[in-house]
Amino acid sequence: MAEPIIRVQNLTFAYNAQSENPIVALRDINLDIYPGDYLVIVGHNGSGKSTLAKNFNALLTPTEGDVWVAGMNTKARENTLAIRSTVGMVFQIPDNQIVATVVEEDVAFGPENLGVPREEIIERVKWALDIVDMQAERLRAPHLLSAGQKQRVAIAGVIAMRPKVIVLDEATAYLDPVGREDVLRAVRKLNQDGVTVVAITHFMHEAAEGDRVLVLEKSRVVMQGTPREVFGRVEELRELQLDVPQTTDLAYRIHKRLPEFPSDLLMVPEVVDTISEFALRKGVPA
Amino acid sequence: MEDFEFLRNVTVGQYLPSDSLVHRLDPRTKITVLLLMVSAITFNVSYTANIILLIVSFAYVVLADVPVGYILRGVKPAIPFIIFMSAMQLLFYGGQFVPPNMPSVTLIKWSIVHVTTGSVQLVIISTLRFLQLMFLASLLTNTTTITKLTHGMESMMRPLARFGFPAHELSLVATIALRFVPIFGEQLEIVMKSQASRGAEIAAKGKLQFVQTARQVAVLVVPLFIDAFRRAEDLILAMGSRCYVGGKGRSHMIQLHFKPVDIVAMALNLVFAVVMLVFRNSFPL
Amino acid sequence: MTVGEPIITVNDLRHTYLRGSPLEVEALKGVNLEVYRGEALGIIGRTGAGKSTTVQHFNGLIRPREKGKVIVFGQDMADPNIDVRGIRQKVGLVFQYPEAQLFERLVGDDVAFGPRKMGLSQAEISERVRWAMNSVGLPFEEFKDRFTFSLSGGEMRKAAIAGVLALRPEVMVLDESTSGLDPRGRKDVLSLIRKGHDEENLTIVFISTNMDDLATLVDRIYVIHDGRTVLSGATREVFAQPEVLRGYGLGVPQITEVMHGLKGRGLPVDERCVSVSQAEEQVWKILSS
Repeated sequence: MAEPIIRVQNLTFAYNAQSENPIVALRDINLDIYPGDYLVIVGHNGSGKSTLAKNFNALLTPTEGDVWVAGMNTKARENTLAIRSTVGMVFQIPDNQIVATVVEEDVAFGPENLGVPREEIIERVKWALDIVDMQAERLRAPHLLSAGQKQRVAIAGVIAMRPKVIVLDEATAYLDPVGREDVLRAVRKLNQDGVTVVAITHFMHEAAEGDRVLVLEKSRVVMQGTPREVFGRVEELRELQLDVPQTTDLAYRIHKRLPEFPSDLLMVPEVVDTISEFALRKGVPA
Repeated sequence: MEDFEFLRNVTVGQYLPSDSLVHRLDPRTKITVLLLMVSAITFNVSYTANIILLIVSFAYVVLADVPVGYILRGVKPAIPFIIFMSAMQLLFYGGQFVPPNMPSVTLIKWSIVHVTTGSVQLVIISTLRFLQLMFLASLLTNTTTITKLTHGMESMMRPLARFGFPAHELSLVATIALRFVPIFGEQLEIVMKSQASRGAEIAAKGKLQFVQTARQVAVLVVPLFIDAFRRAEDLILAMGSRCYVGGKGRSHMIQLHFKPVDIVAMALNLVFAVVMLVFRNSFPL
Repeated sequence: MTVGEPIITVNDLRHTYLRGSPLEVEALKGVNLEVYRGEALGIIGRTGAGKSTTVQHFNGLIRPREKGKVIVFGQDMADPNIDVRGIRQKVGLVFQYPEAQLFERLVGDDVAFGPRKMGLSQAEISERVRWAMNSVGLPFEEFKDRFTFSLSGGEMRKAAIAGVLALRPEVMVLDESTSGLDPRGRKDVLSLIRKGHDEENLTIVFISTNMDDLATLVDRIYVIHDGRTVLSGATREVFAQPEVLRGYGLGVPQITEVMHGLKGRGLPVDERCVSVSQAEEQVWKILSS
């Protein structure tokens, strides 16, 4: 088994740790993220998910415990640049990540900061814009783009640094359904190319994209597993006041009345198939 | 009726696209030419020199394919101010200004009013200078995109970076500021509409409301400030995540290259400026 | 429940931003809609379709200057002499991300802004503020002296909504009031809107791109696409056309997709179903036969 690309050991984080009123955002978190993973972290605002994300690229460092990125400890200042070029981060608000007045120049910002030679920057910018499908807009002024397009530019700007991991901190929160789908498509492509993805979200149907889901509540991990496993626990999710996909909700309700009916269905096609199957057994349609 | 739309597309120094000779020049050339011309203008106070400078500035505008009417329309709001300043200069500066090439003759002297041929010259020269500078400034901003301008300025300041001068940092400050101008324009529009929806009186377009209570201003300014600070916080995180640590060690994707026409333009201007400066006191009139 | 004549009528409305400049944008190309007293109406469409532009005509922020008519409470909005302040008291408009308008130090003061501008007495202002804050779930005594900018995102949004509610309008227009909120925040805002409609008889116009919000909140929907009204009808009827909606860049609730799929397999279900409970009943009827 390969080494984890991000290892979190007994991570506890408190804001204003030295003051009289520290706010503990994370308690004793343990987590291993392996290369190529697609991990989704869900939870309410205030659950600690954003704090956890910022510990992955040394924007925050642990109050107690350790975070290792590709073997480097985030607490060591000398590792910061290397860590941030290994773990790229995309934030919620598209406008507040774009610094340049021309799309392709913003995408070049990261590589320029790393001192990448000019020829290579040009190549990387082209490659990054292709992946997010924004090549056609490369000379446009960012303020003329839609939110979804801006977010894709932000993603391009991050991947142009060729990070091994990309963390999306609620990157779809301010997008409309089409914008969200465009972003998810780009992220899927990246994951298929081997980039590790950590997506923070409170949209349940996005959690279905990952191969693992982590549920955070009030600074602790309260559930983990595959999307199917986690969503199957409908009662617990309800108690946490988290959304359950309507598909899983329906499957669960039928399961309660009919135990043979599987409760851990996620996608629309499989729900339709399963119900049809059961209906056929009852002779419907006749 | 109120009109909130004027904020929607705020840009600085409107760029007028064209394929003129001047448009195709390197931004550094244009900045250099501007600096040279400004030096020549600053030290030339004779009538002859200023006519020459006006003709040359005008020639640039023509070369740049910029409609003169467009530039002059930009002067309109300043006209009351110019008239006021000119009157002040005409009436009270007679004793202060001595033209280098000829003696100053007193025309009117009465109490503090002192009109001389010198003050007349001052007024005329000031007006000519104003026009020259309008033409030259417009040349820069109408023919060069802001992006190119910041690249040009950064490139020119870069040699100073060796001595610790924050060339890249300054140019990044300029770029980010420009990038957010339309965003704050939109944000202002939204806040104005929001407050108007709650019953606030928002000034109609065109009406100059100088007298506003602190509260009326706060209604608009406070949300904008808060918004600006939030964005700044976010930007800091984003830039840090993208490994920004200042200008040192950065590479550059955009490279500016001088073409022969740039060298010629700068050389000609240099000669012109030097001549104007060397002979500034020798012009008749 | 809709009664009588519409209180807002929009007829073939056009609007161009920055008309005459090289940057002009034709935002509305012919919008038609009606709002009836007491109803809960939904407006959906992709970002940039023209939804916000349309509703900004309801309270006179934008006036019809080209073709088209907008009549609000009997007033022709193209007439420069109408009492705009009066209209703005009757039609409350809550913008997207309304927390961006907060400016007072204390929450109570900010909510009081609207009533103060209306020239009410101090006693009336306090009463309005108390009612508005309690209605949105920010208890008056607890929150009135809190610092505005110390509230959480969801709380700030509620405070902004309270600020408009305090005008005691007859119509509340809410532009994407759930966007950017987490599931708990969304539920809170949706339930306070529902309460406003059910208990206070407020006419609600709700703009969203989120299908799930609309499914359970509104009775009627207009779909706006590329500056035009392209579809309208009862919620169930509109959601019964997922392919058409997809063509406009919109989706339907997952549950509606499921029911459509089942109908396609020949099962006797009503594919216009929009809630999980309804779906459960129908499927169970089949599986328990």
